[in-house]
Amino acid sequence: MGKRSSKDEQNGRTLQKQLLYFALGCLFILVVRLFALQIVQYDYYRQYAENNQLQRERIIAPRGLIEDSRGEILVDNVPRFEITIPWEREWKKRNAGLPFPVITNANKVVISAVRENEDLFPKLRVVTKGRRRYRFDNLGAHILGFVGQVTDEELETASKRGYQPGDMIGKMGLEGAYDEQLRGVDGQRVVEVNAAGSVMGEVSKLLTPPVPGKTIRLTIRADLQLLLERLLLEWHAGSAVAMNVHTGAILAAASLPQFDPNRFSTGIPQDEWDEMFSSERKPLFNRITQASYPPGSTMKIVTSAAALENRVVARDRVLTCCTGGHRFGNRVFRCWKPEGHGCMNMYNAIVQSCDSYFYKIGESIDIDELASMARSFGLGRKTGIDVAGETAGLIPDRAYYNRRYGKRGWTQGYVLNNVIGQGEVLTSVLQMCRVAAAVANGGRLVRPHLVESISGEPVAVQAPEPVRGLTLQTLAFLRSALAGVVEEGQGTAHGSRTEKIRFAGKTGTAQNPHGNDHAWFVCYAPVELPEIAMAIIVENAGHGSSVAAPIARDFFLAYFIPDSVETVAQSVDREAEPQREEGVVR
Amino acid sequence: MKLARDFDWLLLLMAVLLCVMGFMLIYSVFQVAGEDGAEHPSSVLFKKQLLWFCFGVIAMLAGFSIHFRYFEALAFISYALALLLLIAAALFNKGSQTQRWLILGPVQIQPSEFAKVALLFAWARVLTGHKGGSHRFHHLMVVILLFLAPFLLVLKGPDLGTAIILFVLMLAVLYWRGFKVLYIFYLMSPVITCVLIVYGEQVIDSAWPLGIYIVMLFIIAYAAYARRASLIESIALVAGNLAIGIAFPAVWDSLKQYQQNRIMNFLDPGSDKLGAGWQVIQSKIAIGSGGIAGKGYLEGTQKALEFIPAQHTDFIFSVLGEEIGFIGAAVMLLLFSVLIYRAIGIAVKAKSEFASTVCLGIAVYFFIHVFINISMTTGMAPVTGIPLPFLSYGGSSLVVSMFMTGVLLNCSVRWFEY
Repeated sequence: MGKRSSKDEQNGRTLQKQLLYFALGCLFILVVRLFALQIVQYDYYRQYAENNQLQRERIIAPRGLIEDSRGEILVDNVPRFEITIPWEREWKKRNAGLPFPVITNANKVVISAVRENEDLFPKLRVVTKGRRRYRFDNLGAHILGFVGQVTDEELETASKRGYQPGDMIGKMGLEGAYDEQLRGVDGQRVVEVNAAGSVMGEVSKLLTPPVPGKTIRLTIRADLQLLLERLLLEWHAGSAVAMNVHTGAILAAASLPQFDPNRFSTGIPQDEWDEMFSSERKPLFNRITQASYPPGSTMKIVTSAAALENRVVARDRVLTCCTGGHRFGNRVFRCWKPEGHGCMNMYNAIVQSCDSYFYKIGESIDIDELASMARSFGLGRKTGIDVAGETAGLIPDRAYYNRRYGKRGWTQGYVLNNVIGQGEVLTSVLQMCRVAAAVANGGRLVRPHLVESISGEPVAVQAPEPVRGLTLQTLAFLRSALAGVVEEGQGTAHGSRTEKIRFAGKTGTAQNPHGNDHAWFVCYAPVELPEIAMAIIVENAGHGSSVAAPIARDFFLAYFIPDSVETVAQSVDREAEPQREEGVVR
Repeated sequence: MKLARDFDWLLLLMAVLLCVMGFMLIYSVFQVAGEDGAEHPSSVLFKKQLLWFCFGVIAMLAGFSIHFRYFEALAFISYALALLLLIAAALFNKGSQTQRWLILGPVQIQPSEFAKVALLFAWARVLTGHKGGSHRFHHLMVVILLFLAPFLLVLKGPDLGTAIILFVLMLAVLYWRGFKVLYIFYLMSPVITCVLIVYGEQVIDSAWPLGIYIVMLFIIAYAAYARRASLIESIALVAGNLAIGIAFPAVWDSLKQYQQNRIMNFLDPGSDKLGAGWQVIQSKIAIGSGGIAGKGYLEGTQKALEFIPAQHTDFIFSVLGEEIGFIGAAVMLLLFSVLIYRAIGIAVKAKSEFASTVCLGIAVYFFIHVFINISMTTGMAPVTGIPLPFLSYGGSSLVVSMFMTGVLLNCSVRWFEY
């Protein structure tokens, strides 16, 4: 316990004096400040308090652009005019003075009616906003996605990111997946509003300019995309995807039927929305990533690999002679060719797609060996593409069947269906495209992706993983067999062969209990030094050889022979037509 | 009776008047919000504040009646408790925006308020009771060590305002205990260098504050040398700061973008124009439109618009300025001035080193809060979330202020004891 010394106390008196002077100085500053505010500038501030109000206005950041891999702008923003009315005061506390949009896309007539009759509608305001414009309408709609008003459910999480009721938010495809980057940061403007509600001026000191959203550059090439969509458009429904075999960069991805994302940009009328959703054709359904189909004979790529690697059969052994079917137990499994293929080794069985040969493999292959090879090829799990809502497909294994039918409830007969891509097996088009890419690039499973760079910064893509359990010999054999499918006279895709470019692939015809068969073609080109892999499915169109393979051929021709690409590019330019201007009144 | 003779009635009166003023203002704010219903949430808040006031009275009685010797004895324990509360608040609110609150069932407390008192006690304990003076190097080190933990926790909050207040309190206590201003400055100078580099480069895009500061450093170094300080000390001061100045940009660049942003938010809260800038402008309109005599109690118009989200807490002064005008503000400043003047008087008069140091710290506590808060509401200082003692809504601040008043009264009646 210290008692202060006399020196300490004397010191204290000096310090006290210093402190008091200091405090007095500070007090003086405060008084001068208050004097300035309350007495000198009194009139100025009173006028603010009595007549003019300051209002905060949000400046919505322009949404980022989306461009194709060559810089062609696919999605941008154009101005639209919104007529708004302020919330009532009770609402104001909760909604921070948000204006409520009465008309979201006002046309010239409405705007001039509001402007010329300000005395009748003193509270209505015309606000300029951005409308999302998809410059080529349908082009790549499933990939690009669309924007729409943020829903109450979305707001629960989106409000943390600054979303407010009535805002447009990315809903599907890239607009949804890259919403964070596309959105930008909203700014704020403070305006002076007089008693009548008219804007008197802006407080520039409090202006926070918005930060525009980032530009997203896609791996997609618009001309190829358009070509692929046109090639597919002949048919009712289906999808096709083309990717770089080494990087997984997707060059084009088409899904049919299409829709026009522009229709959502200004708020779509309820009946149109209902129609789109309830339509039997499901135009909003992304058949590239969301749909799963039985892979049909394209599965034989995987089955062959599994059989060779697990030594179920020697490559050159003539396993069976096809007579148009294969008896297993008391059931006959039919080959697609009723008259039979004759005696087959594996090469010929792939080239001619002989089902009997693979049924024979199915007799002796272990279901888990098949499933494990399928998983190595990336089937039965998501590819990790950068848009949401991807299907994992289904690769049944022993555990799956035991769970589903009980340990004794199923037989090896189920495997006989699986080896030719029927039964429970389900894959997406994107997954099958990746299988073709893995065969083409030397056995590596790439990560499919759609975005090349964001505001000039390249997006990091996960390195390819090796296809586990696949040896180089098997791979070389598969490649020669797939080339044979196109080039051998007996090959199922021989009809699509062209002198100009060598390509390899596997056709498939997936049986569909609901209607006609789906036509598959899974392929890559060129054979010597593969660059692009493709997977195509055309729903209810019959044989893959006659329907799907020609689409791939035409696409390869356009890609590798530049002349034909040029004409496509020109036709893309022609497509850029002025947008509709009529207003949508809610 | 001896106790009654020395009891500082004037100081108590000031505190009571300020409390009354605070309740009137808080009522005025809530009266608007609560007009549309009997049990409006805000009337609950008002009752809550009344309850806190009752706690405050108990705290004040405790601060007054318990001999300050016990506070001295319990200084480190109270420090440890305050530190625990701060850590608990940081842990429980991990990741959330409001690390300055500790929620215990129905009550929310602000541990940083209690840390201020506990730190004062701990510092006073360290710096007193040594024969031959306490301005020794190792005392200084202990004081800084005691300061660092709560300082960093509060800073991480992020609550720059409270962190600044802790720092100022430490300087004041050191100063009162006879540490040379020069040494204190030596300690601060590297921090100032770093802050000025960032501030100059990122906020105002101009190097002249740093330039002036460097010139000032040379002058101080020379002046210190001229006034018989050692040459080595002066050279070390300049060289040390230059070294930091050269090394700092490299360190800054090595920080991640979000780390830089976080520091920037500390230094330039005004960059948040959507929130704080708006608040200040509305507060200035409210105060300025009050004029000389104000619009009359309960007659304020700006508060009705709910332009100022924190009007009953940190921005309570804007209600005062609007409703009772310049005169009301002057009266309030006068009340605080008398309170602070008497507190310094008690610090001078007290025979006990501990009591003297604590009372001085309390005087500076009131002073710095008032100064920063009013500077903030009148747009002279960045918005940092500093309450106005006695007046702002909030339990922790009220209880601590009343407790401190009790301690002042305690020391005033026991001035001759030690």
